[in-house]
Amino acid sequence: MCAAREDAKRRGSVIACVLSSDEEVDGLLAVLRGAFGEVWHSKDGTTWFEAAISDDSRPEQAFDALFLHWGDLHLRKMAVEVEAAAKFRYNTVGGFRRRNRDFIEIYKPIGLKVKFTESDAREIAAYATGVQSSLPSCCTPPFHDVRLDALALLCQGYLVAHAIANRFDGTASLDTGAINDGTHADLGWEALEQDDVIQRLLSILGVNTREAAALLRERARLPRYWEAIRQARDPMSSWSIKPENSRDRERVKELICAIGDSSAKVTLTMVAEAYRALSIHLAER
Amino acid sequence: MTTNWQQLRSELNHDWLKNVYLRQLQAFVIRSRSSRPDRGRMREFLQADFYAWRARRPSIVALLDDAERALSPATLFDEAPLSACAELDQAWLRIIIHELWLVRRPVREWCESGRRALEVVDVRFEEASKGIGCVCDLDLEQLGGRLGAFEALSEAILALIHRISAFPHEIEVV
Repeated sequence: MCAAREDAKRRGSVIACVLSSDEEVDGLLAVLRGAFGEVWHSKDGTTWFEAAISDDSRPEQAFDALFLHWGDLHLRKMAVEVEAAAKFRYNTVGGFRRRNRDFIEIYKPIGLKVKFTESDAREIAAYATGVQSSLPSCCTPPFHDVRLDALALLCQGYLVAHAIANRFDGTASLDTGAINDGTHADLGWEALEQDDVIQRLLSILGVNTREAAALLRERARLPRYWEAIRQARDPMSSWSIKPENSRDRERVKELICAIGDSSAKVTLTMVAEAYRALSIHLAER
Repeated sequence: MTTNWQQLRSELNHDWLKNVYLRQLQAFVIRSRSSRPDRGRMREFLQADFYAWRARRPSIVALLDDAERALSPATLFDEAPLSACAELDQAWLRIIIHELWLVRRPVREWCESGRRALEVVDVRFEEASKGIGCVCDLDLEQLGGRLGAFEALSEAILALIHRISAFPHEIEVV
């Protein structure tokens, strides 16, 4: 046994192994090295490498945690046979269509984009060695919070319903000036200049162009229009408070309060400003 | 949010096309150039693996055809909380949200360039397959003269992988 290995043993190293033939495995190895004393990697299940150990011989004892790149079909059987206290599988998406009794799923994308962090790796190391009894947080299916996405889409609809009035009233162009000033963001207004889009809208609404202008505005002003947001509990909970975004957060909060009180309190300016704040927040997320 | 489309893309593009098929193809070219080529492995590739492209191709076509629908923010109306919207509002909002998104994101161009990349792979694949001849009687000399076709196929596949990878990894609403 080489000196580096002896040293690792003395320190009581937690040992991880990665079974992956993927070229993009380096990101994962780097993250794991921050949490495990040794990180072994094999592309084929027979030859193993450890960056800090020169002799490259596989450790005699079992691994603490095994990580399997689920896309490597040929490595799945080998992964079942490798001795490890806990076995995890991962992919580039961070989601699996079916459960598997041999492996614990990691619900974070690991590939070219690695959303799996050193803190996740430390939790896994603690779980694999029995220090932590609950499943690591990255191994429980994520709750994807779409409440702010939903609010942003309803804002888009509200702004369009108001902007489109001129188009349906028969005037020459779409009046988006006031809304653009408020949102400072191009929603993609050109879409509403397309005749086929307008025709599809009219067909769904079942009215002529003149009536459609009034109908769309009326629909967007009904209390029912914002019902999805009214029903959602604390839509702002996923928006962490930071000094640099406090003003934007207030704008969105103001809109949500107005929706909660009465949709009559919702104004075009309020929606435009909230949408601008939301678009910055969601684009950075 | 991890949709079925994202999972399918990962399985087809990352797991199979990039990590299996392209690698097998590149390994075949390397073996062919070797001074002592492993005829057994080369024959195995030509018999068992090379033609897998034809079997998987329809799934890649379907993936590209479904990209616009699957990645559209309008799909958020299929689930809570937006599924609570009135039916009529959902109908007009779906159209508007989808069309605005198409203006902001050149999704149709991405699909088109994906399809063009796929067509190039098809052409290169047929060119490469012409030179194979009888696998049991592997003629290395003849094959050596046609390695350029296999390399061109590798390049075309790599371009297709890049095109498919370029689609967003989540539904973008703004």
